[in-house]
Amino acid sequence: MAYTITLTWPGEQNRYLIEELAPPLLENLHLLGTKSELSLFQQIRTNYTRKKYELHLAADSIGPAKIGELTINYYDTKTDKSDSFVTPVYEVKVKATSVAGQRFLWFLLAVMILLGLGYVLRFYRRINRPAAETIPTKTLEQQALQKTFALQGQDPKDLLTGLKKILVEYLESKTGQNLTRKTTNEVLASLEGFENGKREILRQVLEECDRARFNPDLIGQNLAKATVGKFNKLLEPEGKELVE
Amino acid sequence: MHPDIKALQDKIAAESFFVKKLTDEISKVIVGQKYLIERLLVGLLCDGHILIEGVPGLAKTLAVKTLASAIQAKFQRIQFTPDLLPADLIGTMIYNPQKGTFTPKKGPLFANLILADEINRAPAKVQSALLEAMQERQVTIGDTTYPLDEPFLVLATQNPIEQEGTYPLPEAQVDRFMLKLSVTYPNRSEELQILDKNTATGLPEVDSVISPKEILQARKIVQQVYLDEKLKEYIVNLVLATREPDKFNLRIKDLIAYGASPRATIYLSLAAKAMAFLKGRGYVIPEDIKAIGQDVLRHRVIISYEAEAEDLTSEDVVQKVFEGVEVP
Repeated sequence: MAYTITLTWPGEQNRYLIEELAPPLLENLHLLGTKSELSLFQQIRTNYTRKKYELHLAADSIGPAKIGELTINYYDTKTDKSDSFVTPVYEVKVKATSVAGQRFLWFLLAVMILLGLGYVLRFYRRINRPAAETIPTKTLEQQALQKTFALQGQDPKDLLTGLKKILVEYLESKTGQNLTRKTTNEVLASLEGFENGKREILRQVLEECDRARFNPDLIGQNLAKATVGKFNKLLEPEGKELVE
Repeated sequence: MHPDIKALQDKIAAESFFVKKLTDEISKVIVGQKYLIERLLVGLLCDGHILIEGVPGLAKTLAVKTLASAIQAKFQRIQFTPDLLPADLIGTMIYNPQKGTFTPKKGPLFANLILADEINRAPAKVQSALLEAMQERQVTIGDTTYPLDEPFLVLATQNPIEQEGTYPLPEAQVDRFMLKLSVTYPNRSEELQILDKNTATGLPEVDSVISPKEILQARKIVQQVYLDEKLKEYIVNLVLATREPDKFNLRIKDLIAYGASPRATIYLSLAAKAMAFLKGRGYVIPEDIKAIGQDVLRHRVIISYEAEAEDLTSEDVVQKVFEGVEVP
């Protein structure tokens, strides 16, 4: 607790010279530290000085305690006179401080119980949730073919650029390999085991896409359409799947 | 604006006809080493010098000599030794006592194809003289400056085995070589062919297939090969990935001390064009860049001590760059 003594007087701070305070007699209390503060303020055009002393006290045990009188000696520079005044004796009662801590512990316990109940409820609902309806998903080939529809009508370069992207994405999904950092030859080398002539079709599609992308003047609309046709043939299910 | 690709394609088909004839002629003497021969042609077509690293006995000298014969070019082999002087390369002024005058005597650098054997055995002064000639394409003897013949191609070799007592080329000088090749042993069947060729029948004569003037003409065509914008960006990405690998999500920043310079960008573009030309194409595809990329970048990416501690070479780091940068 803090025992505060505030002295206020009109005029400047050097009006009164205050002697250093001696700590009061304490019973069942001990002094932790002191702090003093000096401030100036104005009220109705009159300057005032305020000096505040804070004595931080701590109790030794639960029960009655006493703060003894404190004598403040001062010298009035205006009247050239010394004087003093004495603070009264204060009797206090020290109580146990565990109430706030106990209340916090109860609060924490309540929160944990509520959280636990929440997890139990969530788990119960999960195990009793009815099975979701299975929605038929499109195959990779169907998804790839669907994407090519969006390319229709574009100029050969853009068409075959988009086609290669779709093809590489399809091959990546099918094989689990990262093919975006590979050239056409490297892609072909990493996809061993094509059957039924599909490897040759894949090579033609990739090379024609490259030719369009890096040499735009050589691919016409007819050739671009033919490449798309080969791409469609590549994805046709023939019973033989793409093998790594 | 796109160039007339079709006309260029026809032109290249006509001009690159000599490539097959040339490689067939060289193959009469050299068994295998297709990688070496192809890169020699790239250097020739791009006017770029080549640094070759390989153990003795892999037909490096023979390949260059055969190439020189096939293109009617003057060939000089210079064996670099620790006591070599710059005048031994560029030439010097010789005093003629009868006339009382000095006359210039041109050195072996005045040839079309120079094989600088074991360049790391000569001291820095001699290396500098050669590298200056490579850069300036001219040599000064006395007061007179003499231009070097065209085409002028230097093929320097380094022996990776014996490094004691050598003067390693500084990185700045190594950067001046367009390509650094790593020549390896032939395979079993090639070894058998080499045995037959060199012990039974002897080496055949090589006919000249093309003249130096036609090589210079071919160089102009190579420069016209079409390089798409996407591929230009790919090349720049590759080089930038060696400097700022984090921007390309490559975890190799700690392995690289210094990345490749803009010279790498220039040479990679030129070399890719040459590769496309050799394949008879008027345009570059990503394959061309990847095929030549290692040769352009391996001596330009300086690895850190951390990479050395992990037993990684610059080739390993360059390979990681190629595997990490997206191909267009």
